[in-house]
Formats: sequence, C-alpha cells, structure tokens
Amino acid sequence: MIKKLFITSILLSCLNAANGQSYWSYDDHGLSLKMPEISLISVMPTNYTVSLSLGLPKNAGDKPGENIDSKDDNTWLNYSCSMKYRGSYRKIYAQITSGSVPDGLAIDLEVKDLQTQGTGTWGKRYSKSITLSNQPQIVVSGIGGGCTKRGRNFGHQLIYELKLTDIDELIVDDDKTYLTITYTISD
Amino acid sequence: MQYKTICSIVFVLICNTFANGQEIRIRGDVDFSFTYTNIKAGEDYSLETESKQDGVRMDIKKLKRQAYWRVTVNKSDINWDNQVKVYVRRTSSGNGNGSVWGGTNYTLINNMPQTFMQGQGLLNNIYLQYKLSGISVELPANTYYTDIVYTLYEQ
Repeated sequence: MIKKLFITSILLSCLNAANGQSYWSYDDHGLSLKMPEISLISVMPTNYTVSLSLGLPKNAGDKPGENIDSKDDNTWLNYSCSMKYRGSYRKIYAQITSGSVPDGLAIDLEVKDLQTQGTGTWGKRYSKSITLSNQPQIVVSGIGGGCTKRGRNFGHQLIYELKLTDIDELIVDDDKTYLTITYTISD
Repeated sequence: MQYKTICSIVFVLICNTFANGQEIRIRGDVDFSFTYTNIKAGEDYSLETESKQDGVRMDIKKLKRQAYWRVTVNKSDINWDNQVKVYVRRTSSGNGNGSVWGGTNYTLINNMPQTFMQGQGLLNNIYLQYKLSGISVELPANTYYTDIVYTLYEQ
C-alpha cells in the first residue's frame, strides 16, 4: 500500500511540475455575420408623376408632333442588389401594369447607362429604347452585387417620349389617360 | 507514521493537481445580421457596424495573488471574407481586486495573436464590444463565421 501511495505521489508531482510550466490559458467565442440576398429597386424622385402631351400642329395640315412636353427625363432608376457567390446576374423589366396607351400613340422608353459610378457591379442598359407595353421587357441587365447610390442623378436616367404612330387611329375622347409603369428586378 | 506522511503528501498533491493555474473565461457570442430593411434602393450598407457594448464578457481567474497578466487576441477563420475587418475593444474595467490597462481603443483582430490588454489581479465582467468594417452589398450573400480567441499569459 505504501509503495502504491509512493508511486501515486511521484506521478502527481510530475503532473504538477508539468502544469507549472503552463503560464497561459485560452478561451474563445464565435462571431457570425449574416448577409442576405437582396434586390431593391426604386424610381427617384418618389411620388413624381410623368406628364406627357403631344404638341399641337404648327400649321393647318401638319400632324401633332413632338415638342418639349412630349418628353420627360426627370426620373432615375436606383437599385441595390446582393447575390450569392456565383449567383446569376439580375435584370430589370419594365411594363405597363395599369391603363393602356391610347390608339395611335406609343410611349418609348430610353434607359441611360450610369453617369455617376455606383458601388460593385451595376447593370448596363439592355437596348437603346423600347416601346412600353403590358408585357415585361428587359431594360437593364448584368446587375451583380452592387448599388447605384440613391437619388436624382444616380442610377439609370429614364427618358419617356410620347409618339404619334397613326393619326388615323387617334381619337380624342378624354383629356388625360393614366398609366402605371412598373419596374421589376429579377433573375 | 510513514504511512500518514505519504497520505498527507498525496492529499496535498491531489489538491494541487486540481487547483489549475490562471484561467480566462469568455461568455457570450456575437451575431451580426443584416436584412433588406437596413437599406433603401440605391444605398449600400453602412460600412461599419458595432455590436452591443456588453455582448461578451471576459473573466480573469485563478491567478497567483496579484500576478501581472496580459491577454492576446486573434481570430481563427471558419468561413470569413477578408474584405470584412473585425475590431474589438473593452468597454468596462471589470469587477474585482485587479486592474486593467489598454484595450479601450478598437484593435484590429488578425489571424496572428497580438496583445490586446494587460492587467494585474483577478477581474470579472470585462465587457467587450466588436466592430466590423467593410460591410457592403458587394459581399456575397452568405453567413460568415470566425472564432475569436483570447489567450491569457500570467507574467
């Protein structure tokens, strides 16, 4: 028994001696950062209504034509987008979602490229211009993780133009027609 | 007599064995989470964000009486984007008979240990606050993880 205790005491002495060399200890904790996928889009300035009207003929026999009131370039498309690693680039679609353009008229939309740099990977306009309809059409493509900055003069400038397409179909039965143009950002 | 003596020695040694040396204890975790409500269309996230001032607590325990000590900090990445920098600072001096100095300004946490703060004696509830920089929509959507490691050296 004494022999066993003696051996135990030697082992414990060794263990304590080993501990005695250790002048440090450590502990840790986790830190996490969650970044979601986002797609946010807005037309700036908010609550702005685009008003377009066709110019009166200058002379008898002339067609109603373009004038300063048939064009509007006061709105800008802003967006922020965050995507997964190697996720697919996003596009922006435009369409008329309520109301319809009166017969004999069309609304063309030109989407400009960014004139002030954004952050990350922003998109490019898809075509020089489109004629708005109730079908979604791509107006911006190639949007990666990035943003345009917010406000007027940032993002893609939108230029609407009212055009006469067929005077024979033009019927003036109402002084104003209201349309809703919707922009959607999607894969 | 010999038997009693050896028994006493064994008892002391057992007590000594289980009475470990200095100990650092960390309580709490830090989770930074962003949602689409944090920004408006066109905007980027704020480049910097801070955690709560008291989200993580550090205790310095089991020192030799009034021993001097220092604490280093480093991170051990599990899944982390190097674009995001992690900083830490202490927002309190803790409770107890000890004292602490350094660590009140934000220290960038690298993967290599570096001295964060120093002190003397036992302390509880040293609060730690974290700051992240480099947060942007450019960062791929994901949940990123790293471990923050504190090492206590008794001097």
